[in-house]
Amino acid sequence: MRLVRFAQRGFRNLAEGELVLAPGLTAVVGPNAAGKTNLLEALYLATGGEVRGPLADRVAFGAREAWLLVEVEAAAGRFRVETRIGPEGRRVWLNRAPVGLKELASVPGAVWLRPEDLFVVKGPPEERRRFLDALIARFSPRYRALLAAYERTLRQRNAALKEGGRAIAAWDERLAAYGAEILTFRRRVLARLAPLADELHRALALGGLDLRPVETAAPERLLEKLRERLPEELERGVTLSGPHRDDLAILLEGRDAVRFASRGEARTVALVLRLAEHRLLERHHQDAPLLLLDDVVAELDGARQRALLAYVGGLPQAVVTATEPPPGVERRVELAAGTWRVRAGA
Amino acid sequence: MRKGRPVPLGEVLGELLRRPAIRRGLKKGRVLALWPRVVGPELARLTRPFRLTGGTLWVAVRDHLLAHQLTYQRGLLLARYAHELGAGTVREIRFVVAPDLRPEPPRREPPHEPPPPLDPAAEGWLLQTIRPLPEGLRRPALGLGRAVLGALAAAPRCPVCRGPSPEGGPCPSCRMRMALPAVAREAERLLAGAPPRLEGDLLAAARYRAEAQARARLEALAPRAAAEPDRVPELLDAALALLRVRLGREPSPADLEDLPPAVAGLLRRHLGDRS
Repeated sequence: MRLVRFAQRGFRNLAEGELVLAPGLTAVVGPNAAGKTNLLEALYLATGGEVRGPLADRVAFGAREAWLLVEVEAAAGRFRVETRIGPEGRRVWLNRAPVGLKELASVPGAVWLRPEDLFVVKGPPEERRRFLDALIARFSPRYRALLAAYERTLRQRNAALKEGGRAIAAWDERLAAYGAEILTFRRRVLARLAPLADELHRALALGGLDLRPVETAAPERLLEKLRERLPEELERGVTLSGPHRDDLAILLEGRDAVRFASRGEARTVALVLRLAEHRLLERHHQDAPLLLLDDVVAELDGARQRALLAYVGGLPQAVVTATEPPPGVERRVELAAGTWRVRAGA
Repeated sequence: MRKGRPVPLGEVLGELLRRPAIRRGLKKGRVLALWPRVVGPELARLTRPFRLTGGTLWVAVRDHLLAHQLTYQRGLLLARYAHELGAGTVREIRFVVAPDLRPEPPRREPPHEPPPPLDPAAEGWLLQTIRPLPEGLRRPALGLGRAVLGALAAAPRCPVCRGPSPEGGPCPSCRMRMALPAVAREAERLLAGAPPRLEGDLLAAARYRAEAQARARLEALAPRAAAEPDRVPELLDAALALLRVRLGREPSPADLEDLPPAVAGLLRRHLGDRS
């Protein structure tokens, strides 16, 4: 996929304007608080990405709504995606027709690497579940629906548990059915993600990386497990087994990265997970998503920095932000106080 | 020059030697190194020059007595420095008492083997580079240059980009390039004999990847083909793919001459069958 044109109005501190993005690697360079992350976030949202936190925060002070427009050339054709973020949320138009977010699934979109990805490795299990769920939801609207249904059923079952467990059996069966399907999805995607992550990690840091699901119950045993632990659950008023309690084990040369990885190793792993996500999406769409790297280059040592730039330099299109122009990147967008200026390099 | 690429050490060295800070450092080194010659071997064992600021040389001395005596010789010492280095390099000498200064044991030259000679091109380049240096510096620079260039030549290099690769094998940048989907596709194309689409470092990475793939396939097929003669054509195909990647073009019968005659004969016949 290639992002050809980006335009916006009223997004955070960005000045109204248009950006024509060349293929290959472009560096967005500017001092702190110039709007580098905002520009990347705008590109990410405009290509269908989902972010945490209230969307209304993204609207500039004093503006009623933010308007984003991208034109992309994908293997599946040329798309014009328009997004309005306002008090009533986010509305999207694909080639001028209003659509739901999930209809953007036909566009490869963007993968956004940012320093916060470190929490996927070093944070609580919830972060890893969220990483995996967001990734799977990107190619399966079914998974997105399943997660919502599971979430809803779980709330109802927990409420029933708190009320002494009346009619709990009815919830058990539905929860186990949704849960089993979620677990199967996760296993399947992980089986495809793990070898990619391993290959990338071996290239970047020499050691092997293994990803394994850590399940409170196997999909076929979920119902059994729910029944088995019912007494304990009644006591505590929460459901103790199922995909909402699971984790993802990240093993560096067989050792648990969550506990043992140094900060530098954890950063490399987080980076590798996102690059693997990018490759998985590329495989799925037969078309590479746009890769956005926010401030991740500066955290790596010299050799890994060069290696990462060598990698992203070979992708169809990528954007990297930095306070100083990274070595060897010729196309530059200079950003100051929300205003960008494109500088074609030598 | 593109940034981020390896730069020959010689270039860096030559550039470094011209920098003012380095020149000052070199001057200091020479002044300190000359001290034993200036003061004489006996006194040199009891004293140690340690700093040069402006034109002032600071020398640590074991006790007051010696410091006192030496101050009387200051004029002589300065004159000797002026003789060695020209007037103005050392304009003043201060003696500082340092009670824990132990007499230095008489120095014995450590036996060391001369490093293996550099290849003629590197040696010639080195001689050229050190020519502009001041007289007294050329020999030490030559020694340093030989040692560094020798170590560099012996250091492991990346087989793809020829840059340094401390761990041996392809360097991280080339490993990452080889992991690129576009490079993987290019490797497949090269194995199939299609013309390259990439260029530069990416093409080099694709070549390396293709070659490794072809070799792995050949190695996996060889024992099986030995047991099942039906698979021999597959083995020959793999061998031709490896040759194709190595040569960067379709192999011709002339390319098979270095191979053992039996193998070359088989391959030649296989080439003929295919065309």
